[in-house]
Amino acid sequence: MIELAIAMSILMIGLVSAASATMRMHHLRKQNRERIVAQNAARSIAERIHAQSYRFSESPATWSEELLDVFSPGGTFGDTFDASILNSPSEDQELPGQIIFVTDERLTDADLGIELGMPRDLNGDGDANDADVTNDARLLPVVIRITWRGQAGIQQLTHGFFTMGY
Amino acid sequence: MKTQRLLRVSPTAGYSLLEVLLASTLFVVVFMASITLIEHDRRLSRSALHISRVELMAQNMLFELEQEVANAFGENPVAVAPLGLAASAETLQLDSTLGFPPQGSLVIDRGNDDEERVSYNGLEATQVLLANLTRGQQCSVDVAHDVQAEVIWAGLAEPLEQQDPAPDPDDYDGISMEAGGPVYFRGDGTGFSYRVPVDPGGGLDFLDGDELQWGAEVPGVGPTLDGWNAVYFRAREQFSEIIHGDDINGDGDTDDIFDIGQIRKVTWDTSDPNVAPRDIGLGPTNVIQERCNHGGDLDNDQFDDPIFLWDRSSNELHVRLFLLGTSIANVPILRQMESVMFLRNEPEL
Repeated sequence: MIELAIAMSILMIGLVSAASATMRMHHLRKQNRERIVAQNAARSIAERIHAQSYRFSESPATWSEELLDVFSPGGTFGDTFDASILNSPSEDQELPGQIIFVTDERLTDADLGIELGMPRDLNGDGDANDADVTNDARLLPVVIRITWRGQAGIQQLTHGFFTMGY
Repeated sequence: MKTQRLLRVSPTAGYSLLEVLLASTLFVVVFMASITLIEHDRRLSRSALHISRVELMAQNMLFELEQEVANAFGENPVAVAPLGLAASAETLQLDSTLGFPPQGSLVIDRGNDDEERVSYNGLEATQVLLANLTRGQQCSVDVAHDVQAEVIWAGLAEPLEQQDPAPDPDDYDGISMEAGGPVYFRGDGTGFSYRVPVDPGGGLDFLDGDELQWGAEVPGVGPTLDGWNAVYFRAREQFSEIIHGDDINGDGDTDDIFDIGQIRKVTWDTSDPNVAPRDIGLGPTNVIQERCNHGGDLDNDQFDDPIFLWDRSSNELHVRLFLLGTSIANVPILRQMESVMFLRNEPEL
């Protein structure tokens, strides 16, 4: 009886381990899917920003102002976006996606939390000291940040790039 | 000595029948539970792997497509039939077939009472003839069409110029939800015809003066200004909700039929009929479209879901893929993948 009980215990431990591994793989696949959805959403938004940027580049004098109008709170697009199956990380943040246009030349990569080569001259005046280049930028850093509550808790994906007004 | 020890064993030693039965029962229960658990794991892994693989293939396809069309310029194959088209006729003469892929689907007299969907698989080198027509496709009726009837390659979906106020229902084929809100479009959105910058000399000089040269690299010919590309949905099989009893698109019924197929890329030479088009599959064979309603709503969000929606004004190509996979217990599930691509070039550059 004891031998049988030991044998069954070993068998059960093995089976439970195998089942746990399978479930863990299942969760990892779900996490992978979430990340793919986030990547696609980030890339799609980046492409939309490039498209809008291109549209406004016909009027260089107003390029940055018009672009920022579209992607600012209350703008045609706004500064937040949904991302398919991804859940918002908290009640404070309605949508998982955020679009951040950097208009302060003085901000560093450390401030932004992403490697973009900042600080940098964004309005072509030869320095990187301007606090707000909203009205005369020729180049704008953009940070797309997607934060969601997923299988493994709060997850975040950040994508940074530049868009140009010519 | 050994014999003596054996003799000292108690006559009550060993297992009673009850103990053996109890042990056997326990063993069988544990064994059956183990088998069930393993089988469950196997099915779970298999279903998860299947849909994961399909998604991975679709993702790779989107990456390839983005690289391909980032430099491309879309075309909208629209023509007229100067002689009209008799009922059951199998050849159609157009004013020009430029941009029409070697095979595909047409909409004739779109928005009229005699609207008909026709498939074809012959593109004549004269650039005015489409051959091997199959009439009355996608639940339409084979009818005669008047002279100067409008003929559209059904693949392309593009937004109408008039968005606000809403156009007349006869003027659009669907409403898609885009970033800026609902968009009225026409077409099925099952394909996208385009050209890319080419250097006919085989080098990297894509400019002729100040203008880009457009075409495609045709296998056996090389980069040529007569080359064209298209990506399109080709149905391979069908899925019937009636047979499976599942409501795939969540519309509350189980009587829809879907085409399941693949996104393919075709490259062809419009000037030389002897050059065989290259037609290759790009992704998984699990892309789904509702039969007789290509480009229609697939996730019951009350908005249509064309695979390709090209906005000429913003140069944005929105690609939506709905992929059919099987979950555990063979229950079909839909997964959506989408991406927006900005086509960076224009012909007048």
